[in-house]
Amino acid sequence: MGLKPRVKTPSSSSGTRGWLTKATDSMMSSKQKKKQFTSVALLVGVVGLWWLFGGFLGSRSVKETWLPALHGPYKNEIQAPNPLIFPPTEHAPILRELDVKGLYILRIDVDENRKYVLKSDDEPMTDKERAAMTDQNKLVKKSFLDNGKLVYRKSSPQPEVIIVTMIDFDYYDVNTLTRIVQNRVNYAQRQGYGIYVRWAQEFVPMVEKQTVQESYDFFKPLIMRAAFHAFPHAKYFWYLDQDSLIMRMDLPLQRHLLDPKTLDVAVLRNVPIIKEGNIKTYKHFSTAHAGFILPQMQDGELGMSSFIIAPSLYSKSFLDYLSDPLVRDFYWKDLSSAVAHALQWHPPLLSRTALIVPKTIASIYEPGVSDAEGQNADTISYQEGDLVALFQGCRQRESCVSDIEALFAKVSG
Amino acid sequence: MDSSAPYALNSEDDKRWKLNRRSGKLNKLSETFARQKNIIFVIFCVLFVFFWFGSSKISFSSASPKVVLILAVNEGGGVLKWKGEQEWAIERISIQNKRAYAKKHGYGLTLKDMRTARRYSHEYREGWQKVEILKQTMREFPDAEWFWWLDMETLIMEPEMSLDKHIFSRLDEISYRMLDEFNPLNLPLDIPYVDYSKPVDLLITQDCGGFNLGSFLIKNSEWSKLLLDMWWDPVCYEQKHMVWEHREQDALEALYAFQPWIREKTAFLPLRTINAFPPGACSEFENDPRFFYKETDHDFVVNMAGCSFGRDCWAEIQRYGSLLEASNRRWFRGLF
Repeated sequence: MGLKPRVKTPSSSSGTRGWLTKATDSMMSSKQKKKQFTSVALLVGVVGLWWLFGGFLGSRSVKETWLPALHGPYKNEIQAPNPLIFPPTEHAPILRELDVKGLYILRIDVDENRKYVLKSDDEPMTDKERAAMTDQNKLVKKSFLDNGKLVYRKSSPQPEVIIVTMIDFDYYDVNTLTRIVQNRVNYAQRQGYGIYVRWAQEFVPMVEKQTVQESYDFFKPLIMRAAFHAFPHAKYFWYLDQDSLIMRMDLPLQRHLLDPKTLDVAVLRNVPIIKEGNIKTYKHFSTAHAGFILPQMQDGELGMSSFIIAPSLYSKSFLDYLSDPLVRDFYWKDLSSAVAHALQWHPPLLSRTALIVPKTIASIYEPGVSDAEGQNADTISYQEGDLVALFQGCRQRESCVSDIEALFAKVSG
Repeated sequence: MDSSAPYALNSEDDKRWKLNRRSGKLNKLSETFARQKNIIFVIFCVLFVFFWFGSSKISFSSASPKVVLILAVNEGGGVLKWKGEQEWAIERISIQNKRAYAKKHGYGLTLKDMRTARRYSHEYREGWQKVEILKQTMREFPDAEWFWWLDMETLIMEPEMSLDKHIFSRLDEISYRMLDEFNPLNLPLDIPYVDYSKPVDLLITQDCGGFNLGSFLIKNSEWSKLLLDMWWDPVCYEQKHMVWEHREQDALEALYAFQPWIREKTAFLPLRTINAFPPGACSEFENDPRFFYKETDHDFVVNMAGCSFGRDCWAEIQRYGSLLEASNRRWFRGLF
């Protein structure tokens, strides 16, 4: 055939298409095609199997590393039977006799530094040992050391609010200590809350200045962190100082304060964190984010005798920060100034802090002053009907014991 | 001719017919192509315009990167002393190295100016710069998952290796969270309230002298943002600024030592996985294979840490640069 004009018809055999098919056709018979198909299938199968088993082998070769389980200062823990964790107050006289030096090991290093140390792998006392123990002092000491090992891990009842209190056997007698604890127990039982009470002396070996007088304030972040650990599912932890009583058994904390709408009324917005300070609380604070609820007392100081913390990343970070020896041993006036510093320097913490009016959880009791006469009756002084009476200043007046006795009789009578 | 023509013609027609039948499918395809050519042309044009002129926002390929490399450049910035020719060259090589790596794996790269600035010159504020740059970068790339901080005197020696393959996919295998095996600072091994079941948000390395932040990874998370805020506190720094000569590194060590919320999300990688040293650094440990770059093991990154303190940065970067080039030479490079 001669030259043909290029016509675009499907029947045209000239052009690249025809040439291409011809070429492939001549290269591959149908038999060859089959052969190729099987070889490709085989290859895919082998690769697939390799991948499958490789995955299995790979996962098996991951090395098992040992990591310590989540634990508190003590590695061994005791399951608490109910959400009311408190030490036996009747041990106070013997504990006072034993004193801190009888309760802990004193370690003296080469530089003559004396330090009480905590034995973190201390074994808890079994019931058998308890029954067999005849030496009363030993029993008291052992139960003192076991107090910090108590944790609540039951699924029901699951209290939402935990009241945290730290009691000092050196300052109060048995009767007063019992009143303080009984007051918390009564309230918690009525409202279905939990309580977490520890001896202040239990925290002595965890700090550097090892006396209750010097370090009581800085035991507070420690006991809160311990309470978080003891009640991992609770929503709120209310630290309430030993020099105070809950005066309204019928008033649940959630309805009284924690409900975002109620809290909204109590929150102080756009107020300086310290007196005449430049940094103020946020104007547009959302109460739903409130992780720390601190009363701002009348002198502008942050009240650290009664405050509420909701456990979260931020609250753990805040407590860990306050318990960092580098922070704790700075020459603060008190815990309140350390907290104020943290709030002023760390906006993520401030944005989760609600400063509230003190009347809500920190009314101050003034003995001998009747309700109407009180100078600051509306803003800060305790009046009948307030949830809490703080006996602030009772140590200077030396009236703590009588104050507690008087108001305890009122509330339980 | 005429008498024999029909047969011959027939046979030719037959052949042609056979051929046509074989290429039928292809023909059909080309037929449809021919018929729809206008539409296809329009589609092609649209795609062309998209890929050629389209902004990165429209195109499908450039989703926001999951990993962002932060490269600290211009250290000192010629503020306190002149920036020499070699320093410029080192900077160029280092940037080129990271840029090629980020491009290859689809990571983001951001260069951060580390020039000496007055706002960081007060003794309490030295070293805040790194933390503030990290904070700023987290705001800049809100969708990124991980940030990889790299000092300028680093070179990625295995550009083919992705971070996913090298680190994230085998994190459990290569990282360690307890310091029981390697603890150059003698930090307390076990402190209360550390929950090691939490996923890791900060991946750092330890060299012979403690934590090394020349190359580290930090996740874009709530925890990281809080860490960056808590990292610097004037109370800690006021007490320690004479002792903490490595500034932010020492501050992090102190946080790790006593604050459980920081410890529970921190993990360590062996130095050689992302931060191998040249023989000059940690020179008092020259027989310890844990620290030093080894060519035969194909260590991922080399960090000429501290080369500006009495060592020759230029010589070191040249040495590793030529190693990098030699090991990543392609066969076809010889043709050009």
